[in-house]
Amino acid sequence: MTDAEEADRLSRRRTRILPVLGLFLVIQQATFFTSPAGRMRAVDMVHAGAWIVLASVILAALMTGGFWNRPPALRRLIDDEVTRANRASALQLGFVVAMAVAIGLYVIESFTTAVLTPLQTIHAIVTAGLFTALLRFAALERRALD
Amino acid sequence: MTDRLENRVREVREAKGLTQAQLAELIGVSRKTVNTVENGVFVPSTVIALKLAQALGQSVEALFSLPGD
Repeated sequence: MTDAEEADRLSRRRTRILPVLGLFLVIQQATFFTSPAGRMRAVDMVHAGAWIVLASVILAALMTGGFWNRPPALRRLIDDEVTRANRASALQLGFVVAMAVAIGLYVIESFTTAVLTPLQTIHAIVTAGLFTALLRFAALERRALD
Repeated sequence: MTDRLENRVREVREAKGLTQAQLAELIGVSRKTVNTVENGVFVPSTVIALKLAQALGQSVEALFSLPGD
């Protein structure tokens, strides 16, 4: 298999993996909001740690294209001009959505009786931004491959 | 200013009997790049346009043109 074919195969795999990672992030978000507030138990600390790792991995994968164990030449091919343009577009939309969610939460906190903890606020902003960027990147990459 | 670019990459590539993957290999990009350029989804950089022109034995102006030109 040539490098171009291998890059194609890995790019297709990435378009399948990224939405799944995003789904995991949203599921973690849902369980975080449905768990009772209060003192952190050991299981909550594990849960929080898992979310931090997952969010960091997703951010790193989005920024670098992933496949860190592959040869640099192949990674450059996977991360070529089109991919960089798709990533820029995805990150732009992710940033806009994260800011919109932040503004929305600020409005809710300011003008309603709803009370969110700082952790819940951060969770919501990060999840919205990353999930949007992941889905947009996967969709653009899929369109480019077909 | 328009950001659309018409191109004859597919036509010239097929006339030369090359697949997208073969052309991609020749110029050191992924097949995805060739595909998106051919479909007009992606406007390539000058470097990619020059590499495509070189690989296909055409001038850049023969491969790419602004709509209406």
